[in-house]
Amino acid sequence: MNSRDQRPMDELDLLIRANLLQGVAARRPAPQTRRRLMARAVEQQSRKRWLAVHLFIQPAPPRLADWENAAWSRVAYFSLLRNLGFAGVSFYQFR
Amino acid sequence: MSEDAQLIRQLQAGDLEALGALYDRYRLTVFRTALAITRDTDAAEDILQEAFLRLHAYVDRVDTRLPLAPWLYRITVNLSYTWVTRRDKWRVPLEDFIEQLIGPVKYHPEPIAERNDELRVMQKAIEALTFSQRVVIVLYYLNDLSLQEIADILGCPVGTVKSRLHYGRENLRHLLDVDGSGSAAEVQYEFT
Repeated sequence: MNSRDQRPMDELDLLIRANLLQGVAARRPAPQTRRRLMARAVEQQSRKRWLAVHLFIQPAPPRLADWENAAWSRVAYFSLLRNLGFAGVSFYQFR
Repeated sequence: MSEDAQLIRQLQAGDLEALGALYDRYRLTVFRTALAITRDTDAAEDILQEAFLRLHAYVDRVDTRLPLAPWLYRITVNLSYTWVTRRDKWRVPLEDFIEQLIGPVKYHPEPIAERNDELRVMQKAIEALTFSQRVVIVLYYLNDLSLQEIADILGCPVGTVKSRLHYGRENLRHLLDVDGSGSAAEVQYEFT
């Protein structure tokens, strides 16, 4: 019986514990279980690294060039579009 | 820092030798716990392997300030639960079908304890418990864990563990036909 629970053992406790211990005492995992585990762990490690590279460390999204953000370029775009016939385009869309 | 914590740190850094070392330290505990719950050697082997693969997969979440054993017990119990429920899903209809073919053998009037092989009888009796009672019985008697430790592993109150242990014992007493009179009955509520 677990000594930390301060409970005296009775016949049933002894029977349960003895049989549980007897049932597993001589049993050990097969040696190939360790080998299988390590092989699968290597695969898992490779997969984790692949995911880290391909999913989590993506290249930064393309940024607009600085000149595209400049105020004068918006005016240029506006003029170009108006000249191409997009009369409905408002300058305020480019502010 | 404990040796477990050191090995966990190495594993977190990608050192698979540390996983092997942790396996060597805890393989018998995990294997025997899984075996006692599932009563199936192949299942216990699979659970052992899967428990350590999960340790590897989720090692970044393991708190190195806490002992590793309760974490492994929790994983082992969860994997055993998955295995037992999957097995029962297929086994029960098959057993019912066989019973229909060969006649009623399930409710035999002979007490189980009258059979000769005591170990086999005990194994059958433990297998007949509900999963939650079986887990508590195994962790308490086989792994020598306290009620509080079992409650922490299962994530339930200590009172629930006491209740499951009590009813598990009573069911085993009934199945094994052990005399319930005398000192055993007097002390059954004396858990602290």
